[in-house]
Amino acid sequence: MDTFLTFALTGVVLFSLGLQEVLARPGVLRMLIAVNVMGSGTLLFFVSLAHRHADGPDPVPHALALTGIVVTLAATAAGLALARGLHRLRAEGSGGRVEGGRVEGGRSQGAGYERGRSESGRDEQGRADR
Amino acid sequence: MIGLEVVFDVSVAVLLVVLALESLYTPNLFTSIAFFIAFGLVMALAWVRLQAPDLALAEAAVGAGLTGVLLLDAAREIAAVRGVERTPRSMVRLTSLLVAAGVGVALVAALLEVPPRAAGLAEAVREALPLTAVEHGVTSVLLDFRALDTFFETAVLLLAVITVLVLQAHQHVRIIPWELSASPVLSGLVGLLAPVVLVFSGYLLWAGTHAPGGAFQAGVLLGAGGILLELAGVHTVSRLPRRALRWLLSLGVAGFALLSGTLLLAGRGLLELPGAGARTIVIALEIAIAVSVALTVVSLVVGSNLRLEPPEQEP
Repeated sequence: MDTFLTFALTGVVLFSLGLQEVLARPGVLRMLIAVNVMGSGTLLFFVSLAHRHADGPDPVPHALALTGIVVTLAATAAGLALARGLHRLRAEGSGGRVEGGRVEGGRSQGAGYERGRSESGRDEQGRADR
Repeated sequence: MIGLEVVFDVSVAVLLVVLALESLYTPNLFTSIAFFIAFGLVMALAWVRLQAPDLALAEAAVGAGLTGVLLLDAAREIAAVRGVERTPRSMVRLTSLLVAAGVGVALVAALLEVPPRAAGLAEAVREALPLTAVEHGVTSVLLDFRALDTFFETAVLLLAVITVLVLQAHQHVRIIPWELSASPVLSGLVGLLAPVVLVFSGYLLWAGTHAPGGAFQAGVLLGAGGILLELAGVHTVSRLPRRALRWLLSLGVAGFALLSGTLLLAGRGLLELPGAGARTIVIALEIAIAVSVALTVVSLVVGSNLRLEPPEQEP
């Protein structure tokens, strides 16, 4: 089995594993990890196709994969920022700063988020003291 | 007789799959992120095995470092509340397994159709390389043959950083600032690392014209150095005036836009570089891209933790 086939198969396996986890609807952070694993699989598959030439690899997939890596980072950061914004909105909703019930899910999962909010509040207090 | 190379390839491949499985299915989210960071490092090894040093450089900084920082930082805020995540219902899990297995089988079937030897565009790039301003294949594709792709990539990066900063600006809750650690180990380490990172990213930028390296790798590395500095309490990017930061973040896109506008006005094709002076243009573009990539990376990571001044206090 040569390098091309080994890593192309690995790429397929990684893509399928990530896809399975995304479809299984895990939490948002786990989903972003899964999307990253899928992305790695895709790029691995693509770049191993570039490795089929005897006198050195094809630079075009390399350049595209390089942009792919950087864009994946940007997409992950944007996704995480959205997730944190949603999380704060819900925490606010259940904490009563926003009129009750305006943020759905704030009520149903109120207890957990309430706890989280006061924890982070205490955290902040602790840091200010230092 | 199995060669040593095959053993190495298969070990890297198995390690990748195992680390991916661990990071996807470990119940504890923090452990899962740690596995994901290790996965990024092994990915860098895989790129080396595929003779893609440019990708290995970028992956070592992005996959292993920056994505890990982003995930850990978000997990600290989100997962502290959620704890262990709910396991999905068995129906959902079964369906997802079937779909993923189906896609996997289809991909393997497609892979078996692919001819095991093919040159792709390697010949074409090698033949056209003397016509371009640079001597390194990957850089010539990024900044000459497919400069339009790179133009839009810088635009995507700008959009992502705008998303992060806008969400930040609309937060009503107070944001926990990053711990400004007084640890002597961290500040000592950063003191040693920062100059090395700066010099090495400068080298990568310079090397990009004729060897593995270039704007993205240099920018990502420089950005990682900037994040280290911020973590150690040495504020560089977060101290920049907002207006200056905005301009510097859009430097890459602005450079491309200016260049394509000028070339169009001069009656040439979009991003069709003139023969004379093409090298200067490419190097100037690379510097602009590296600066905005570095600042984008720092803003993406630190942006969620910045305590922005209210608009009226803006300098």
